[in-house]
Amino acid sequence: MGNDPSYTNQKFKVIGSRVKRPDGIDKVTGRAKYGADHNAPGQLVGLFLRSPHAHARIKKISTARAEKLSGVKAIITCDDLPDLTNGDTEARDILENCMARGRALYDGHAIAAVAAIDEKTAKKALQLIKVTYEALPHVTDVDDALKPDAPVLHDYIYTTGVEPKPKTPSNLCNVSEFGHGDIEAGFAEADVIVEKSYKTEQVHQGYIEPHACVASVSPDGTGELWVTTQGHFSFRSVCANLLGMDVAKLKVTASEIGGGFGGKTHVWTEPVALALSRKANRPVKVVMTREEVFRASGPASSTSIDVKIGAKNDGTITAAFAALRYQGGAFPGIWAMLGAMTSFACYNLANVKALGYDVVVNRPKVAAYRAPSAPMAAFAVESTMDLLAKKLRMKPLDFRIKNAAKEGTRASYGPVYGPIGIGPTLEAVKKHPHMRARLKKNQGRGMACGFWFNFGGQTCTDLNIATDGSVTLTVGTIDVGGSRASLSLIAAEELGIPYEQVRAHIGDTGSLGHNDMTDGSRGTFSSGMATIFAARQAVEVMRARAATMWDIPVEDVVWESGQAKATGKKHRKLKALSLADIAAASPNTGGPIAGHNESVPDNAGVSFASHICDVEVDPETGATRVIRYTVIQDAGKAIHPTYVEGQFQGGAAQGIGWALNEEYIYGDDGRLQNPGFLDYRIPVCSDLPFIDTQILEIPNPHHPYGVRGVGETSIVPPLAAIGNALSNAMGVRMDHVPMSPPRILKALAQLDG
Amino acid sequence: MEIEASTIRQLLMVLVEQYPRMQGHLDEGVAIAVEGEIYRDNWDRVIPPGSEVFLIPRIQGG
Repeated sequence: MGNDPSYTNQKFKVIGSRVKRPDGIDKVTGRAKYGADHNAPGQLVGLFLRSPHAHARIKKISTARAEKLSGVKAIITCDDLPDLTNGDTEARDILENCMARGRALYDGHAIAAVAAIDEKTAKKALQLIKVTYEALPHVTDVDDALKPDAPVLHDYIYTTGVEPKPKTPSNLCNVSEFGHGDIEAGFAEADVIVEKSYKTEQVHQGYIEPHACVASVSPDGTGELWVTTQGHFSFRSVCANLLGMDVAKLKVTASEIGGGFGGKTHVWTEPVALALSRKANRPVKVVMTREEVFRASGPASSTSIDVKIGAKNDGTITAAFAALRYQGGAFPGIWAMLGAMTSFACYNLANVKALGYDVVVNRPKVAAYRAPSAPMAAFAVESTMDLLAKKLRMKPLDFRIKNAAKEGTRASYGPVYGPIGIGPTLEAVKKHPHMRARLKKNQGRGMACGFWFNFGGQTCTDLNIATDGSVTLTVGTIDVGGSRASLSLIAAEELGIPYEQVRAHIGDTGSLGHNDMTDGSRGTFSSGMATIFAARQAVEVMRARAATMWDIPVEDVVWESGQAKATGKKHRKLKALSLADIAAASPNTGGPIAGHNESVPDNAGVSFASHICDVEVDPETGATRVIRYTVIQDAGKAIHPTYVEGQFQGGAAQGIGWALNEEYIYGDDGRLQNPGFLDYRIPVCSDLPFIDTQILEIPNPHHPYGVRGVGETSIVPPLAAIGNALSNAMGVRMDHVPMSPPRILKALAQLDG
Repeated sequence: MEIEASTIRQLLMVLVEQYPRMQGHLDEGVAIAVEGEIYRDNWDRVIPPGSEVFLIPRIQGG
């Protein structure tokens, strides 16, 4: 079988079972070590001084008084972080985001950092640092940032993607375009056209564990970083690059992670912690407060989106158009481009065009958030789909089924689809009992579809068999959602041994080759494939060892059900050797038995989901309660169904919070007004019904087991599903997310008026 | 456009030779769809004769 990634329709023994997670006991008993749980001898406390201004020139930073304070061991400003990025603009933006260089670009932008013997001393030192600011005009709204009189953040941003090239700088970084056909001709063919504009506010991933690390740099140029991250190898590369260190001399160990959802794919404090440690010659621990997480890590974009869709009376869409404006915070991003790529991906469209406008504003640098940029685009498109269906007097579900993409459809972002799952998820919606459940007064039902790409990436995995026959699996992708259990199942399946005989670990950067981050729903897809190949390599080694033990040719040895068996009549007296038998003999048959794989799994398989939602609105308060919710999604193959369901439920829960409550609220002064969980309300268990799930398994032809990524797509449909349900409950269309009580009361008042 | 190449690596080399401004896009990161199958890193992927190849931006995930 070798390393062929093709799907083989293999019959499974343990794949698909719901085994206990290996990290479960540690997590429920408090033994698990998260980012803030690590300590080093002699460690200092690192704290940051942050800008109180949305936009300001930093005229002077005086650290003299703070440096004289007893117990202060190091103070860092941008002067201690020389620009070593050598023309790499992305790296330079990361450097400037970690520590302001001449200008504070948003409320919360780091200005200086202190390392001191304790928190009290570090806080006092921050108070003694004097910063002289010259306040500058600011802009925080994506539409305002595009107005002709908007303050321009950067004099080096000239819009790309347009002809002719602009002669003046602006806040519009890039315009991207996706689509095919002729939308003007398509709209001319339409019998009905719906056109509407939408806004969505900025949200945070809301991971419960704040960013935390312990950095230790030695005078010999080596260093260690213990950190909560979605990608310790990438953190190593970025930090080493920014600090002028050799990559191999920086060892990064990933802690357990208390949620990331994309927000822990970027460095925020880590390079500064390393710089503080280097300057102080002591380990430095940095733990962000929740307020810092909100003000100075990477939330998702706020957006402004126009959608226009036309269809014939029989329900065939003739043309679709969207203009999507996304703010990326104070630095250029690709967020609108992702919105444009995903916006119409669910549908089979002859004429489609999506324009993405990436904009900078005075807000924190945007980071990925679970299927980044797709939920906002889906809110706008799927809301318009419902509006159009109603105008056509069609059921929204039937309208979607009629226009759903299928194998052979040219995707709105370019390529032609292979086997995909949007049609089957919609058919499953139609058959689901949820669709037939009765609704009461002030209740409404909505549904919506969602798409996300998924991807693979660089992966390296080790599998070692101990002399007692137990197996250590070492992977380099962070376990954000139960992947250690899934990967152990895969190793057990390939080796033919019980799941409990395998123990999976996340290796540090010194123990494996580079692994890309756990993002793009790639953990189980990529490391799963590498685990299959590593296990198969170990099986080949065990066949050879068995042949040695029996003194027969290796060609006469097969591996079946976890045992080496000698084939042929002449070997019929040889009793099969178990993995444990071969492992026990390994010291005298050639030494340790291991399997290894380094690869770049690609073709993770695009993913689709359809969600059904029932809501109840209180017309007096405007409060909305989700009373029933169902997620139907294609998983390719569910290795551990409980974790697949958990991903479906988690994405839906985050999407429900996004839809109904979560919102960055900025004052006129450009400062964030609600940087805490009291005023930025994420849903808790008592806010949600049990979220039902239905896993579809349409195998990915490019994975031996048929696995597709599953972690992100489920956050895409909820905004629109809830918007559509609210519309059906209240008789009014909500076009601004979050659909919070004040906005709902306003909409109801306008309806009455 | 039509390009003679048997692998993704060859295709990208020829593309930059013929259209030097493409280098900027490659530096920013691209993914390559061969007959609808999306490749980001596996540049040794063989491109079957007559294949449709799409270059799309290299995306980020969450």
